[in-house]
Amino acid sequence: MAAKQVSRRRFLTDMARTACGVSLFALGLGLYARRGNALPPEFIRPPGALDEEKFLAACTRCGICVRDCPYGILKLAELGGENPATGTPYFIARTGPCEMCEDIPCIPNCPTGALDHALTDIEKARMGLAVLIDQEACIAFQGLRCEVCFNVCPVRGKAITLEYQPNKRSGRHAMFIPVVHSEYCTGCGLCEKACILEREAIKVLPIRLAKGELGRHYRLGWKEKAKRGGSLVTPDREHRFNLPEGVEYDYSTGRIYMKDKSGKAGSTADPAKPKGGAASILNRGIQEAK
Amino acid sequence: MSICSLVVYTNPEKMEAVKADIEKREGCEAPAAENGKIVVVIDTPSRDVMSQTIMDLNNIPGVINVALIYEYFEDGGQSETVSQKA
Amino acid sequence: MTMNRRDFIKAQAVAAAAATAGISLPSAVSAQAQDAGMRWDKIACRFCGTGCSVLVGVKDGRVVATQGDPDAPVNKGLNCIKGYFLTKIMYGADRLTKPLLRKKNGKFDKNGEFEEVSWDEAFKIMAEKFVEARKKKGPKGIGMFGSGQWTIWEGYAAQKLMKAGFRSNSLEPNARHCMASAVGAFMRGFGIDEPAGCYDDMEAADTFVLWGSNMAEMHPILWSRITNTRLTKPGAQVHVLSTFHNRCFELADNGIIFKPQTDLAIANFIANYIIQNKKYNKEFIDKHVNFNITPTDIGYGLRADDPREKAAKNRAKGKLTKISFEEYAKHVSKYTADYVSELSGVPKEQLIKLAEQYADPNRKVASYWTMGFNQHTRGVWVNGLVYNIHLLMGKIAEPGNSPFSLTGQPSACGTAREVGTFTHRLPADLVVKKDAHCKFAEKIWKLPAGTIPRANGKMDGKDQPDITGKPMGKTLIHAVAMHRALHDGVMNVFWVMCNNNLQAAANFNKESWPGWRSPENFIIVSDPYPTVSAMGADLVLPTAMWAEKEGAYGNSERRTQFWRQQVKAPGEAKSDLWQIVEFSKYVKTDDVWPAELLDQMPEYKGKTLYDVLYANGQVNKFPFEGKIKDDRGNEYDNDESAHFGYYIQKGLFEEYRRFQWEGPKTGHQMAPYDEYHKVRGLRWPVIDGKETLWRFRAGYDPIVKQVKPDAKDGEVFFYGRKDGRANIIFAPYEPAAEPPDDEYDLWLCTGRVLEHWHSGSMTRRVPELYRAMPDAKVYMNKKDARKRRLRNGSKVKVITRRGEIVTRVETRGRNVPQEGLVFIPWFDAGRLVNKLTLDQTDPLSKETDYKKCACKIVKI
Repeated sequence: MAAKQVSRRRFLTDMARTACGVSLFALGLGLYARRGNALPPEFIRPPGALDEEKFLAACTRCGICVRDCPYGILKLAELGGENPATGTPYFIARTGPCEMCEDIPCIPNCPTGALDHALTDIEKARMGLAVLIDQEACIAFQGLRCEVCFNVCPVRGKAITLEYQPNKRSGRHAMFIPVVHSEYCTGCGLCEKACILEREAIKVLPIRLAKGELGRHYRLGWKEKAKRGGSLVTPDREHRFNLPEGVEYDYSTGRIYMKDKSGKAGSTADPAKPKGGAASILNRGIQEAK
Repeated sequence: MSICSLVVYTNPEKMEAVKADIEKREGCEAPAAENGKIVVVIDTPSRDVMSQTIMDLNNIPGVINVALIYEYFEDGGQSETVSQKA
Repeated sequence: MTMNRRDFIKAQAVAAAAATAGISLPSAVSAQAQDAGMRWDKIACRFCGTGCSVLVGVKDGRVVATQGDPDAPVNKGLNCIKGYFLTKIMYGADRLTKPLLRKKNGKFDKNGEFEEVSWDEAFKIMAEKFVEARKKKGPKGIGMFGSGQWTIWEGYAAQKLMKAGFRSNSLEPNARHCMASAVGAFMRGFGIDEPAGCYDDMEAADTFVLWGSNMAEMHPILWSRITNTRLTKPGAQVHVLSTFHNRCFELADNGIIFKPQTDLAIANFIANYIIQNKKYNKEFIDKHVNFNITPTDIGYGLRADDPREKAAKNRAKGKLTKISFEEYAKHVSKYTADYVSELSGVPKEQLIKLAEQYADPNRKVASYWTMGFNQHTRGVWVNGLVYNIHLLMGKIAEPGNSPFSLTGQPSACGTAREVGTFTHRLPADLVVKKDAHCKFAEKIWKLPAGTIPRANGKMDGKDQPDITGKPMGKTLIHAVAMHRALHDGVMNVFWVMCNNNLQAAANFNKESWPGWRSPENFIIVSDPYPTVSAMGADLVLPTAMWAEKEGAYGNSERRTQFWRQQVKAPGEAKSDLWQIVEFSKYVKTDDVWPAELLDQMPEYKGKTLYDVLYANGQVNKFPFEGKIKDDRGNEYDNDESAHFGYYIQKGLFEEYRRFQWEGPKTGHQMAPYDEYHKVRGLRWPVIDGKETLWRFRAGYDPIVKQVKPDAKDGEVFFYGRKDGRANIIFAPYEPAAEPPDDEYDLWLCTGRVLEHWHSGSMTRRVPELYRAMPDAKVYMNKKDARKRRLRNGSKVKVITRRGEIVTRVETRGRNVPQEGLVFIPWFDAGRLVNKLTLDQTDPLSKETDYKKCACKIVKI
C-alpha cells in the first residue's frame, strides 16, 4: 500500500510539471494556428463571397451587407485584433442559415465587389457545401424515417436527393439516405439548422474543407454517358443467347425467366383457382409475406 | 480492479492523432473528444500499471496536460474506494 | 438491461470526466451511463394508424428514452421522426395540471378568466350543466366528442356513459372527420368493417396503387416497406394518384396528377377497361358478388337551406338497388379513356398503364388510400369504386391482392370503429338503428330494455319515453351537425376529449367558434395541453396521456396492442378513463332516466350512473393487487385501478369482449385481456389464440367455416352479408360542391406533413420538430405564383368565402401542386386553415371534405 501511495504522488507531481512545460509551447502553437486558418470553419461567408484570400483582401469591413440582410443572420466576426478576418461578415448555419432571398439584397451595395455583383441567381451561390458528416448519428442511416434535411432544402430534389436502400437488418423496410450534390448545393445551411439531432449530423463547411477531388485522370463512365446523352463510343449491338426451350433471359438484369403459356414472364397461378388446394395458398401467402 | 478517468488536453490539431495513439494502448479507451480535450478511461489490473499508463500518456506528442478526474480501485477482497476530483 | 459492474463504473468515470471538461459524450457512452437502472417496456406509438411498437425507458419516474421495438413485425425497431421524439411529447413546458374554469367573482362566468378549481368543483358544475341541458333540450341537448386516440376502454366507458347513462346518442369521435367514409363503404360493400388484408400485403403485392394517400409522409414506416418491395422485387410497380405532386411521386412508376373530384371517373374508367377487355374474373363475380346502383345527386352535407342542398334531388340518400352485370357494364361504359382523360387532365397512356395493372390476372395489386378518399363529398362512393375494381378481378382477401384503407389515428380502428363510438353505432359493428342490437347491448350491460335511444326513438314500434316528458324523437347527430347544433342552440353542453376539434373542424368562423362561445353553451375540453380547443372552452380538464395510463390501441391492420402505465401524470392530470368514470358518480339515474325506465329495475333508483354502469358486478369483477407486474418482475402503477379499487381496464375490456363473442355480428373476436400484455399485438379475429391475416377466405379466416361449414379451403365467403356476397356499387362522377370560379380561382386542399401530427398539439411542443417545420405555408405552383406576382417567401392572404389567413408562399417545397390548386397543412395553431374550409360532408358518411373548396390568394 505504501508503495502505491508513493507512486501515486509521483505521477501527480510529474503530471503537474509536464503541464507547465507544455502550456508555454501551446501558446505559440495557438498563434500559428490562427494565422493558418483565419476563420473558424463554422463561420460561413455570405453569398457571392470571393475565395477566402481574395475576399479578405477586398472586404473593407464596412458592414453594409450585414445591414442589408433582411433576416438579420449576417454578423461581423469578432475574433480579436490580430486576426485578419476580424470585422468580416459571416453566418452560422445551425443558428441562422441563409434564407436564400431571390433578389440577394446583401450583394448590390457591397462597395468593393468582395461579394460578387455578378451573382444574380441565388441558386448559383456557393457559400459552402453541406456535408453529411456523421453517418453513425444520422437516423436515416439506421432506417428511421426523417428526411428533414431533404424536406427543407430550398434547391429541392437537386442539392439533396434521397437514395433508397433496402434495410437488410429489418428485411422489409427501405432506408432513405440523404445525399448532397455539390453541383447544386448553395451552402445556405437550412439543412444544418433543421437537423433534428442533438448535434447536427449534416453541416455546412467552407468548400475548401468540404470537397474531395477525383484524380484528374479518371472519369466516371456512367456520368460521362449521361452528360453526352449517349454512349461515347459505338453503342452496343443487340445480343442473342443460347437458351433452353421456354426460358427467357433479360440482358440488363441478368435474370432468367420461365415463359408461361400466355408468353408472359413470371406468372403465378390464378388466385381464384389455387393449384394443390388451400394449403398451397396458405403457404404461398406466408412465404411471400416474409 | 482499478479504473480511472482523465481529461487529456491536447493541441487541437493533433487531437485525433493523440486519441488514436491513446486508444492503441492497453486498458485505455477514449470515448469522447472535443476542442482538443479527450476523455480517457483507463481500466488496469492494478494501480501500479495505471500510474505507469498515465505517465506514458504525458509523453505522447501533442499532449499538453493530463488531469485525473475520477478514480476507482479495489484490491481483491478489500473494500471499495471511490474518489472524485474535479 | 444487462450491464456489468465494471461497465457501470467505467460509464460513471467517463461521465464525470466529460462533465468536468464540458464535453458532450457520444450517445453510446452517455446512453450506457443513463441506462443503468432503466426499466424498459413496450408501448404502441402515440401517433398515426400504422401502429409501430416502441420500447420506453423509464428512470426515476420519467420516460427518458425510447427505441423502436425490434421485435415488432410492423416496424422492426424503426420509427419515423415523430416516433423518434416520443420521449418529449409528455414533457412540454405548458402541461395542464389543474382543472380550470372560467370565473368572475368566484363563480362560473362564460366571459370570465380561467381559474384553478378542484376536480370536485369541476365535476359538480359539469353535472349540473349536463343534467340541465339533458332535461331541457332532450337527447341532443348534450354531446360528447371523443377520439380515435382514446384507448379502447376509454371509448368503451364513454359509449356506456353517453348511450346508456345519459340516454343520448350524441357521441362522436374525431374519426368522423377521418374514417367515416371508409366505414360507410365497408358496411355497404361487405356488411362488416375493416380491411380484409394486412400489412404483409406490402411484401406480397406486385403493384401498389396509392389513391389519395401521401403515405411517404403520413405513414412513413409503411412507405419504407413499400419502397423496399419496389427496390427488391423484380417487376414491382408503384402508381400514385394525387391532386398535387407529393413525396410519393419520387418512387412512382406512374405518377398521376388529376383534377380534384375526378378520381370518381378514373376508378370507373378502370372498371370499364376491365369489362371492355373481358379481363374480369367471371367465376368470382358469379359466386361472390352482387351488382347495385346508388342514388345520385345527393347533395353535399351542407345546411338544409343552402341552395346546393335545395337543388339536390336525392339529398343524403344511399339505398342500393340491385342491377345486373350487364346494366353495371352499361353504366361504366360512359367512362372511356378519352372522356376520363379530358375530364381528369390525366394523359390517356397513364390511365391505361394503371388500368392494365388491375386488369392483369397475373399481377397482385394492393390499393391504399387515406384522407384523399375519405375526406371527400363522395367518400363512400369513391371507396366503393375501388372495391368494385378489386371485386371484378377477384383480387381481394388473399396475400398481395388487397384494397386497403389506412387509418390516420392510432386507434381509429381499435376504439372509434370497433367500440363504435359514433352516434349510430354500438360495439362490434352493432347499430342503434336495430332494436335487436340495442336489446342485446342492454342485456350485456344489465340495463332495462329501452335504455339506449334507438335511432328513430322507437322501441318495438313505440316511442321511447324521455326525461323531458316528450318522446325521444330522432336521436342521431354526427360531428358536423353537433357544431351546427351548438351554433343554433339545440345542443348546450359539449365535452371534447382527446382531440382538438376547434382547430380541426371546418368553417371555424361561421360554425365552430360562434357555437363554442355562445352564451348559453357550456364547453368542456379535456387535454394535456392548452390547445386552440382549450382556449375556446369554459372548463378545461388536465389530462394524463399515453404512457401515463394503461392503454390499448387498434391499428389499421386489425392489430390490437396493449401497454402498461409507465409513469405518473403531472400534477392533478387524470386520464380520460378516470374522468369519464369518476364524473359518472356525480349524476343519478333519476336525473336523466324517466320513471318508466326506472320502474323496470327499481333497484337502480337513486343510484349514480357509476353504480349502474361500472360497479355493475362485471366491470368491477377483477381485483387489483396494488401494482401491475410483468413477467420480468417489474412493477407498474395503474392509477385508475388504484383509485376505483378494481382492475378497471380489464373489467371494461372483458365486458366489451362479450359483444364480440356473444353478439349478433361475428368476426370481431379478440383474445382475453391478459394475452395482449404478452404479445406485440394480435390481428383479430383471434380464434383459439390464432390471429387472422386475411379475412373472408376459408383456411385463412376461421369464421368462414363457422358460418358456412361446407366451405372448402381457399373458398371466399363475405360473411358480413347474409348471402356471403360483396356488393359492387355503381356510382357516377359528380362535381364538387365549391369549384373555383372567376373570383375564388384556386382549389384549396388541406392536409398534413411528416413532422407534425394532426393539430400539432404534441409535435409542436418538441423543439426539434418545431424547428424542422415551424409554420404552415401555402404550397403553390410556380406558374400560379408568377401570375400573381408572388414568389417563394412572399407574404400573402389566403381568402375564401368564410375567412382569411396570412401565410407565406412556398413554391419549392416538398409538395408541388398542379396549376390551379394550393395546399396548406393544418397543424399550425397560429394559422387556422379551418377558417377557410367549407363544412361540406359526404352526405352518406357525414365526413367532412377538407380537400376541396375555392380560395383566392392576394399579396400583402
